[in-house]
Amino acid sequence: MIGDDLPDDDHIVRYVKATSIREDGTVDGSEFRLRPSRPDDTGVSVQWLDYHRDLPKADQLAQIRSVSRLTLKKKARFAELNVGQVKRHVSEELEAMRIEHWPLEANGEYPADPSHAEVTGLPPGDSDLAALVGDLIAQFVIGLHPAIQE
Amino acid sequence: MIEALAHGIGTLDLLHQPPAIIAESGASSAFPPVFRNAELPQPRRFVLNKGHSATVEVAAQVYRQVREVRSLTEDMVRTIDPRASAQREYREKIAAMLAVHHAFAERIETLRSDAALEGFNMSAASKRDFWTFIRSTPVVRKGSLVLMDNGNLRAVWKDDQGNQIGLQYLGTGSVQFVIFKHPDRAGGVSRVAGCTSLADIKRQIRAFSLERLLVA
Repeated sequence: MIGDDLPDDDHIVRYVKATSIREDGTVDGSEFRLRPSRPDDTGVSVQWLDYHRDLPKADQLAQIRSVSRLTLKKKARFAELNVGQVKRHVSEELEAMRIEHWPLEANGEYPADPSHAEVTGLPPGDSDLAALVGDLIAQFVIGLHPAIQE
Repeated sequence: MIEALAHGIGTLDLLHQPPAIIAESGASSAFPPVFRNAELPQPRRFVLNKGHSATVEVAAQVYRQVREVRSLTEDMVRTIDPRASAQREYREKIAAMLAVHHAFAERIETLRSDAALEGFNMSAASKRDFWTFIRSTPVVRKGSLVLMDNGNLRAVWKDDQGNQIGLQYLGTGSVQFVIFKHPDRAGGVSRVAGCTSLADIKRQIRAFSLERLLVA
């Protein structure tokens, strides 16, 4: 249902721009902050990888690419995280954080995105706590996948 | 004595004294020479005999050895001269520092072009703060550099133990820092974030004993 917490065993992916991928291939925590330029944002958008539970991972990623509302770039990546692992570690610093299912309906040129989810309960994007929590989340990225199928 | 005479390097003259003794007797010796018939000794002229020739040869040989040893010693001194060693170390550090600066400059250019593709720009003020910090940090290590949505540069230095320093250069002469320190006094992890001036951030880093992440 809308707003439900995602299962701890499941996985999410976050689109990460090339400018946020460090030289050593790790993801910078700044990608897991609310954007100060978009004060109305309630959460950080992610995709629920296991929404397409019966598909192999390559097909799950293909589904997510096909409905993404972002302009995917060649050097960008999808960063994969485990829901339970992120919640468990972030709760040491921020108890309010949740990862919720927020499917998007079709809108104009965009098709429906049933895998859309949000990381909510995050502090304002330019706050010191947001910087700390962002870096904490980034430590639990377990894989990077090409944003555009190679 | 007999053996010495046989080799021709001695004398039976009771008044003969080797030069060293003559020199010593001229000084205030505790054993003044005994003079026969109370006559004052005549001035003596020393003649090099066989014995002296042998001594000269030995002396020359010793001199050659001393010169050789001195030459070797000078070479060693040049090698381990602390000033020369320090100069060489200084030159190596300068070269390493310039290499790091060059790598940072290249990374900034890459970020600038990637940002243009994503539709945003790099903050000139943030970049200025970044270089101010880097130039004020001698022998800085190469950290990772990323560009945030707001156009600010963010540098991260970390190690394999989970220690990390993250600095966002705000373009106002200050930084937003995130520091992770493993382990803390309780064996866990210390995490702290805040904002401070470029001048003060090194004190914060020292407080966590994490200078080694930043400086080679």
